[in-house]
Amino acid sequence: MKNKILILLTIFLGLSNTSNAQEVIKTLGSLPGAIDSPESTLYYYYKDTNNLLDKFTGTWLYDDGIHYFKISFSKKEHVKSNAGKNYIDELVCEYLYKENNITIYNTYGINSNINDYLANHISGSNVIGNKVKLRYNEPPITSCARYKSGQLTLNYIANTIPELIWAREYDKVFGVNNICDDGSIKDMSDFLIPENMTLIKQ
Amino acid sequence: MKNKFKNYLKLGILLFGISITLLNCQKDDSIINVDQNVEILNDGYSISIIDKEEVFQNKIIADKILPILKTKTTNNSNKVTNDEHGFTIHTDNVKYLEKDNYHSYTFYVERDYESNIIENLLLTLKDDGSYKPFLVQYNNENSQQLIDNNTTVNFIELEDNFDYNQLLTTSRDCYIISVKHQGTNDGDTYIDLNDCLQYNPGGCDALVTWGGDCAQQDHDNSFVNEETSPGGGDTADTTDDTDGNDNTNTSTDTSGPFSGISGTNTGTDGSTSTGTGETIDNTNNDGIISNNDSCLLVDSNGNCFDVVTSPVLLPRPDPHIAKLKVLSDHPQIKAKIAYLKTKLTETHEYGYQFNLSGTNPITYNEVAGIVADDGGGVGFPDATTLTVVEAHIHENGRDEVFSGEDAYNMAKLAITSQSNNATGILITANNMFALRVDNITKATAFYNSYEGLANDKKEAEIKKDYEKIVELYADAVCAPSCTVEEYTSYLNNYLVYYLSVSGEDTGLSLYQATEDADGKTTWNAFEYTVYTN
Repeated sequence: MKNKILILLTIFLGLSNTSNAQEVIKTLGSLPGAIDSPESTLYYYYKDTNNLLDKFTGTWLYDDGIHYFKISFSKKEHVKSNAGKNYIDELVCEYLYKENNITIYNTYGINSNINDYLANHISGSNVIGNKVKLRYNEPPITSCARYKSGQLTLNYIANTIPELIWAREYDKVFGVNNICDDGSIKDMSDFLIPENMTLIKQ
Repeated sequence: MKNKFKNYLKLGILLFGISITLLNCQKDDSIINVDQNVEILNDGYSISIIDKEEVFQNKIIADKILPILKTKTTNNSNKVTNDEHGFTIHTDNVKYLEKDNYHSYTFYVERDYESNIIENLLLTLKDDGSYKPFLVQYNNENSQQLIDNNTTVNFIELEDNFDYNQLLTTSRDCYIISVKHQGTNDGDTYIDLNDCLQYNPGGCDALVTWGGDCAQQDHDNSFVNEETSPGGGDTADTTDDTDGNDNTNTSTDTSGPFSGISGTNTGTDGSTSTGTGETIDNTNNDGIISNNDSCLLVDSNGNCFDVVTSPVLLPRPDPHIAKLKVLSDHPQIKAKIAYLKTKLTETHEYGYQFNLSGTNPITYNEVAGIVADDGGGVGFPDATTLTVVEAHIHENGRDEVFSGEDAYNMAKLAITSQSNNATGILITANNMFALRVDNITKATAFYNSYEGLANDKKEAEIKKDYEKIVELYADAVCAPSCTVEEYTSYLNNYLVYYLSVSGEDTGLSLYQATEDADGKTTWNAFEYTVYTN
């Protein structure tokens, strides 16, 4: 009985806490309006109501005999930023990369954590038409994290078998230091996954 | 089983009851907390200056003002700008008048072009809990003359459902008000508009000279019933002026301050109307003031209801602007800014930290920033309570905008120095920007939202959150293409959004410097523009 009361009380308190907040759904890609009043209880959910991200989802493959790269994108919904109050839908992924049949990265399966930025920090919501711009990183080889970071642009080509034009560039500025929390030097090496590729939908 | 159900039912009812009680305990939307700078006047009215946050505690007022934000708003929303129609409502220097159950809000209204009149938007409480809007115009910028009871006041009625976007563009009937004031040590003044009311149907797009002394009149509202209106117009002129032309309205007080005035109302379209005045009675209380109404507002019993305002003569100057000017003009900081500009062709950031080392005169200990490697951002030694400024460059080719990490580091500086004077300066190829602290509590919360993350993850998360707003929206506005200058403007526009309560709620605000031909630097808040797609 006590447990049931506790459950009811928890539900009640949960409802009480959310009763003053109002979520307003806006279409992903729509521009924000005015800066609201500071007391506003509104928050926005930039939802992919037009399914702009959907064409990028699924598994894509690049294989030139030396470089083998398989990546699976999915749409993660209702993602909140750390400080802000708004939510957004975004594209996230897992991938397998081999060179000469030697696995370099595998973020699928037991290593996969779609929320882990270090493992597969390729994500974003910046979609305009058939292009989406994503934040880009690769798992570090030697240390806690990579010093360098980048941006990735995917261009969807609506062929009979759809293609993705993959174009990556480095950020113009990286972190403010190259030291890991444990005092070691960050992985200062370049990215290993090819910079430009055309991936085929699987 | 049945008993269990009954118990659950009872518990449910109990919880529902508690929730209703809690909801009823919530603060009334129309009541605000004003506990500082309150001045009590002789007639029992209290006047206080309140800021944006206090104003918008009142949701009804927020709903009135916020719709104007549809077209344009500015950095940290200290003012609300309607770019299309060229006016600004300042929301950070609002006079709140209160007596018993009555209160009103008076906002300074600024036209985007030179004007020799002072204009206020008055939102005055009605007895049904809603607010009646009026535009109040004073034809003299000299505040002392206003206090000396030697000014003209135009009092323009706006409909309850008035389109605020049309605030300054639609002509309406107006009322000539003489000023009854309660002078105080600092010259504060309030006007009880029901005390001295003249109905002037001549149209309000021209000022009407009024030389009467309301203070000499009996303050019994009933005088209006017997009053003859000034002759600013006749019955043909009681409708809104919709021709869009400016009118000149001359009128002459021929028989005392509240007596009928013969006058001529001449429009630039050549139309002229004259009037000999009309008798005002109190038979029509339909919510829209007409010449049949004796009071500006009436309560449910037909009695005159308070309409009280106090002139807001000037917008409050943004204190950050003056402080930024002092900082950027300081010889040491100025010299280092010039030096940093020479480093814009390098391949990574450069920067300097300034720590206060003397106060008379002010001197700084300059500390060069540290850069890890090519492509690296500049890092500074841990700030202290003496750290005032951190300045750095975004070298050529980089986006000319503060990054998310810059904002994060600025919040950290604010926390460490525990000062609203902490300043971040960004020098780029074509611009100079500054971040200042508006709200240290919010800056702290913003900084703490990344606490608990390892430094490596923190950097990535900050970048990600920043890009979800600043770059996402700038790219959307820019699409399909735009110039570098336009893109810089869009990035900074959405940086303002990112910094604001609607974005990451950082408690920081963005300023931009301009330099004239003589090398003098002027700072302005970066104005936020609402774009649509």
